Amino acid sequence: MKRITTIFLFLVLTCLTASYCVASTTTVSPMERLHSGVQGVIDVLNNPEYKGIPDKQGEMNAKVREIIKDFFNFRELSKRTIGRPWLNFSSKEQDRFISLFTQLLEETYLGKIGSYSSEKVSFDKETIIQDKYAQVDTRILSSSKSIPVVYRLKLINSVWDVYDVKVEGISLVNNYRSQFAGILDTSSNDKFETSKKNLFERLEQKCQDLKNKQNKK
Amino acid sequence: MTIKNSASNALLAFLVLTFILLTFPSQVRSAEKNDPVLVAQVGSGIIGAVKDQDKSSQGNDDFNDDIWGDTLEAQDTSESDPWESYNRAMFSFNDFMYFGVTKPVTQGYMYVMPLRPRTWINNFFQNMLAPVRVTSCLLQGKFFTAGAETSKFVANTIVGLGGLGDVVGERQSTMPLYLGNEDMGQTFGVWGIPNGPYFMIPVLGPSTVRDAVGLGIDTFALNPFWWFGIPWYYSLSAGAYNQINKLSFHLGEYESLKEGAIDPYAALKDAYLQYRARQLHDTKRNRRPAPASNVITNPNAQAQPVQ
Repeated sequence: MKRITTIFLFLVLTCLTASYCVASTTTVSPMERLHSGVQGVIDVLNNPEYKGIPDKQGEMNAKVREIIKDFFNFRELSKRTIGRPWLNFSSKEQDRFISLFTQLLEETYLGKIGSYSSEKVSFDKETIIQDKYAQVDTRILSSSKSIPVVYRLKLINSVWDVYDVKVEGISLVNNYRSQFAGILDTSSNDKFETSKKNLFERLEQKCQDLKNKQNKK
Repeated sequence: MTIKNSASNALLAFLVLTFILLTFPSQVRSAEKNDPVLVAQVGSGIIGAVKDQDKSSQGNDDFNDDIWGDTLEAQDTSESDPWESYNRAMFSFNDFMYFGVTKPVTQGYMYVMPLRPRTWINNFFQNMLAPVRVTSCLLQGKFFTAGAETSKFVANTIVGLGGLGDVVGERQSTMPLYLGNEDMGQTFGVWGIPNGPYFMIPVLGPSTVRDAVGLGIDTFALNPFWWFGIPWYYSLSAGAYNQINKLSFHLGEYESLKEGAIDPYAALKDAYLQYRARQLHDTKRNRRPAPASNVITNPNAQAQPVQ
């Protein structure tokens, strides 16, 4: 009886280690994932089909957006920019916030992507903490200077996804969190509801403004 | 007598050798440069694991940013803004001044002055303000950085036509240095003085009480413009000119910050505090122009043909 138990235990342990090993080898490392994501964006930007053709800019932006959505996790990013009040958002409100905030980020940053002129991105260091958080230090190298950009990633469903970007020490998530924290008032339920409404209105207004600006260009 | 002499000579030689060995160990160190990183990673991993256990009892840890060990920076960024109504008013005024006066002036200046001379002028002012940085380095105990700053000052002043050229480039040395344009505000921070209330300086922009005091000392005591009895209006216009010249390299940064912000005032405040916090907690960095790592994007790559 004892022997059977031992054999059984041994088998279970073997299976566990094996599955663990398989799982860890199939996951792409944070740096590799980030590298392929960024390279993907650069590939699209350099694609002669789009480069320098004004009519095709919309199509190009859509493509870039798709690639970025693949390695950025906007749900995690949104959650962190709101912070703890996120738990008091209904799932419908969460989805609405994610779509608005994603739109805001896209409208803000896609407009600037056109200024890309073959800078290189160097991926310097990868740090993994607690098995599910990772930080990748990168630098954007142009002829005159190098700008440190730090990405933070989280392992979600065994895929590393970006949830925060730090440029020159300024974190995107923290910057927006400080803005949203000023708008959201959590002191009482009533105030929370009204301030939430206010937040959504301002987000929608901002997205609208950014869109108008893009169209004017 | 002679015995004593040779003994003191030997002592002297020993001291000099020790000094040399202590001053230039970086070549030796660089061979094993990965080790400290590894140790730090393992260490933080262990600390993180311990923390994780603590947190699992508390439940949701997704909102906890402590894992990255930047709690210190977070503390400095945590804001105190008792003068918010004044600050917001001053923010609007500064915003108006920026778009109404400073930006058009800078754009006109950029139109007249090509990039090269602007770089020379920037170098000149940077070089002239060396006393500000050196003093702060010394007061913070960053002696090697102070030395690097001083040698850069000497080299650029003599070889670089009084600072117009930047013959040294980035403060390079064989050993890791602290970088980040030291100033009195950072010095106070290193001494443990907190930021104090956030404070918008008219025209100049975001600051805190601590940084504003530091800026005052930098501008009126450590700036060589005030040392030689130059009339104040000359000093003032030179300072303004320096600001305009500097801005010509950073035009568009404020605009993009403002463009993406829901609340531009809060966005600028947070960006300023985060930036300063990072400057303050700058770690020793190897100032040799770090080569690009072997993982690098190919800027000229083209997309695979679309199927």
